[in-house]
Amino acid sequence: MKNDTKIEQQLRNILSEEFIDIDPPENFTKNILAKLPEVESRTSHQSFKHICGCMWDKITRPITFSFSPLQLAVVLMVFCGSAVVFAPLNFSKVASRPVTMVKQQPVRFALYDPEQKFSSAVVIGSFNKWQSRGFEMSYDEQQKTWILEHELPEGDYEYVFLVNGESSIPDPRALFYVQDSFGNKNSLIQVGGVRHDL
Amino acid sequence: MTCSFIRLLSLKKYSISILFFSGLLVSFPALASTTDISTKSFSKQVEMANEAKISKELLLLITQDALEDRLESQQASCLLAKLIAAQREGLPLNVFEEKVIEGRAKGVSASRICSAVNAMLVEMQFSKQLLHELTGKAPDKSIIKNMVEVSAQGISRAQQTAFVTAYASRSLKSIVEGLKLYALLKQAGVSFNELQGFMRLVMKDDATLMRWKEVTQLFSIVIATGVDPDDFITKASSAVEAGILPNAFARNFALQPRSLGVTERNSEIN
Repeated sequence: MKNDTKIEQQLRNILSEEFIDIDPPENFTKNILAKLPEVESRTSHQSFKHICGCMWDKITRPITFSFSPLQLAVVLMVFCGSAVVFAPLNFSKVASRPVTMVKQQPVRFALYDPEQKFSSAVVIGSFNKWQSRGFEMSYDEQQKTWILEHELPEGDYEYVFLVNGESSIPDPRALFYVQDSFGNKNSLIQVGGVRHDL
Repeated sequence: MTCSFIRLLSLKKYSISILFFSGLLVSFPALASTTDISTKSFSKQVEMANEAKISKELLLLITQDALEDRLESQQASCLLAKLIAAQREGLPLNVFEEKVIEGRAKGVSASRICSAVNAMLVEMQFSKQLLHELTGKAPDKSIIKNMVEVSAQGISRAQQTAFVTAYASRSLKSIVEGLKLYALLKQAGVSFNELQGFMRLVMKDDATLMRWKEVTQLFSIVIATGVDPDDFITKASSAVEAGILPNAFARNFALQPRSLGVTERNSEIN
């Protein structure tokens, strides 16, 4: 190792003495540059690839964090504290959100039939798509009336009584009626509102 | 896994509709053998009705009735043509569908159902045109539906036009709500002058209309006790004018202090 440095030093001395007054040849720099291989200029696509490559290197290169147990404890405490403070707020927001529930109201349909002329009576209307199933009325001997009690969502509904399985008759006790477009009337019932509040 | 399940579901749905329409198409020759009407035109109409997104439930109902001779194919074609026309004009199709189902449930003949559907179609076209002229844009389907209900409650075209013109400055929703209230009170026997006066007061602003739109319910209870309709409306008009809330007005008739569809607290806030 020491020999190497000695030789290097000797060579330096010789060369510096020998070439100290000699100028470089004419066009020295130009000639050297001309002999160097040409580097192709990058196209925009290549530049983009190059940038992407650099970025990829940066984001995929592993990063090492170093922290003390005390620092870790502080970070964990801040995280847990914020969770305790903000979580109930968010929960209360969700809990206070209105739940859209269809409010059902009890409705009583009654058809007075003192001589029990009808063998059956059913309520059909816009609330049951004019289908009789599940809306059959039962005859009350004491009141001499066909009765059906049912719960309906709030709203306005048209209805009629289908008697003996074939004839439709509007409710004689209804105050409001609607033309049914077939030359007859449908009774109108308003479910909800003051009628049910009173 | 989820993706393949969804694909399976959509395939199933697709298969069901293929089965449904195959069933319909297979049924046409049988229909032709039982009726003299051209099957070709009916089958074409079924296709058109399907394209017009008429409910499959109703399509099946009409086709089945035609097959089982409960409905002549001429009547079935008439019904389908009206439904297709309603869909093309952007009218609320469910109203027509419900009317067909209602007619069948009541045992109404097919020709009368077809006439009724046609009358509704004409009425809806009128309402749509009237509201279009008022606002300059096509009205919402729910608004048209409400207008038809008003018409079924006995309000003539002239009365509709007069009401809409009188309250042209108000929103379309308010006009329709007001018209519904007007129709019910008119039907219940309130005289023209009393009704006009009451409507003028109620249509003053949205808050007043929303407070008093369910007065018909209170009306029906009060009338049952023997109160004259005009007396009731006169008192109601005075209450509106004096700024008395509906729940306070209800106390005048010895009814329990409750609101008119709006809770007492909300009513006072308004």
